[in-house]
Amino acid sequence: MTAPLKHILKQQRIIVCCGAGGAGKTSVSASMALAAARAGRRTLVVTIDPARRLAETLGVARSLEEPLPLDAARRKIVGISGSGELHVWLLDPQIVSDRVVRRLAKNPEERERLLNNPMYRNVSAMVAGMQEYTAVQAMYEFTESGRYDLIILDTPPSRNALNFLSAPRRISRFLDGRMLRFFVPDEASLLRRASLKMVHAVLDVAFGTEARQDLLAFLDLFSHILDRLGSNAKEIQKLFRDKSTSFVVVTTPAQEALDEANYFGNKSLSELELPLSGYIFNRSLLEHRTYSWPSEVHPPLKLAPRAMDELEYLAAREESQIEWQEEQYKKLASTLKNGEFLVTLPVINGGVNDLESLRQMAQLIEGSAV
Amino acid sequence: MLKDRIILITGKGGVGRTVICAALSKVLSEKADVLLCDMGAPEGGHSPLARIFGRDNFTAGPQKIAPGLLACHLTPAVGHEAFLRKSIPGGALLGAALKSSALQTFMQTAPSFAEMGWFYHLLMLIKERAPGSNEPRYRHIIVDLPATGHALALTGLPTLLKRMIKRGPVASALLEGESYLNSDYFCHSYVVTLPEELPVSESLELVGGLKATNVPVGGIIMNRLVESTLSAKELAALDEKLAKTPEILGRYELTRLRQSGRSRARLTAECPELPLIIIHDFATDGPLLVNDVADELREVLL
Repeated sequence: MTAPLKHILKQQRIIVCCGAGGAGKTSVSASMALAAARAGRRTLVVTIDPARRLAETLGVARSLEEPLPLDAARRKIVGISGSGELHVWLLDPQIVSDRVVRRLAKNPEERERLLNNPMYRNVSAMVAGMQEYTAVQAMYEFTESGRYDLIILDTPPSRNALNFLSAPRRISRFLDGRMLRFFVPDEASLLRRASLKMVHAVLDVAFGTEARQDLLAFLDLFSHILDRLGSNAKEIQKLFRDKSTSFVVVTTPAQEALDEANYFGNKSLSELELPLSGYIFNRSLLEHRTYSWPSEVHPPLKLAPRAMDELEYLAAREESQIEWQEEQYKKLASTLKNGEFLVTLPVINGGVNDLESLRQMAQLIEGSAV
Repeated sequence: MLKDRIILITGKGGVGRTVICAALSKVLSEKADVLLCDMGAPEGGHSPLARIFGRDNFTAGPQKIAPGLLACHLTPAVGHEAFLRKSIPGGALLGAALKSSALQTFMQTAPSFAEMGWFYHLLMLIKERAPGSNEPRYRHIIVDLPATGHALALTGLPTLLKRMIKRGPVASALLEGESYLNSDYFCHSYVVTLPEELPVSESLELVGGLKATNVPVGGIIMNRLVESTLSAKELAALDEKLAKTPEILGRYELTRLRQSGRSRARLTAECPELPLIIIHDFATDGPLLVNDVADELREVLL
């Protein structure tokens, strides 16, 4: 049995938000974190690529080593008091990676060689999956630190993000240290050396000797770090499948977002044995079902005929959108199982990009009927 | 756009990039041969772009999908193999390289190799000649670059790798690719956006990102614009009058309408040098929507 959204915000230790790009995952993550903080929990939201405006609203910058707590003025505006805390962290893959290297390098020499390797300096730009990988690492570290009651992870929009959570090694073969060790001469068996020689010859032709040497030195060093890091993969997996972790799928009523939500909810998560708690139907117009038609409001509107015509045209558009959304909502509701929740969050005029609208969203989540 | 040999379409998820790509390829292929490329669906999934043309995925080699329109799926593996054939002197080494599973594994695994493969596959298609002529095989190549991150990983590849790789065939291929992708004679990228505040902010950042990777930006495509018969002033007055009656149908659409106007004005103000292509909001869906968007594009372009 799954608990409703407002309860999981009070009980869980980890909430992972997934869904299509543009579904409002970051705003929803931040609002959920805010709702938890308002309830007195020490909350961290880790986000990957927030819109600049939202980042500014929350008072955070890129490339910070540590999460930043909301300052006193902001706490007051959004209504956090007492023990409640809201920390926000914009993930920078390079920073997380550097931190891992510093922590896991065998000795200062290995550490410096890797940090100064030209390939490593660009590792976060070069390695697909580095964002996901470092997001999960960072989350694991924060969980271990015990500094937070609840951590909310706003995942990148790719489907890969989920595969990654379930099996970090599968997402990118590169991130499996063992795979690369194969190409490092010292470690290869006699049998492998012949084929290795050929690989090196090809790389020499393609890249030139110098770049080939940089590449192999980087692979050698980094694969050892990845191996040491890989030893906590099992614990991370356990953490994600734990009862205290919830996955929430965020969607909008748009077709593409709903398709993605369906994929995440009905395929990905269950295949990966990850605990889905429910869906958030974001930017919903369903509340407007009870709204009045422009010419039927009391007291009547005093509008010029031109303005009334335009307004009625707009009302008709809105009505057809509401109908369509109702259909989509029912469809999504019919796929729910095991007590998964389906919470609607209404569209916020102007979008969620200031503290006021963030608080408004948090209050809606706190009051969510489901 | 009519002059562009290479058209890169990019933009955040959810802005309708796929529909724009489909509609654009439809319009341009009425006049000349067009190759439409996608970079593909996640493992085992289907490509949303191919779906519009009634198939699950495009093939790695260009295949005709409509009169004048070919489509293909850019894949690293095709690029890798072509690269090896081109750069390694024939004979024993090439034979061994093509057969070697160790090398395959390496290329699938090592950082940036996937992007290099995509890049090379695209380069091959750009250089392809029409049979028996020196003319390019395709008048236009349209690439649906998936997410923002991916787009920049691809367009930024030459700049990123040039710092590390100074000579050899990879370096030359990067230079050659650059000579196409960074030349506004051959190539332009277009950012698809919506007339809303956040998408517009993100698009402005993306335009900056593309410029930083030296790919010429040809314009911004504002999708799903809503317009009104009333002036901005009249709309503001109407909005004000409705402030006391919040629960009225049409108010939300009115807000969208006003926001639409503001977002458009902001784009024009912040990127005065970039052409803004407007696509209106249609109530249709699926193939009908592609037709509607194509009709509007045709009008803008021709």
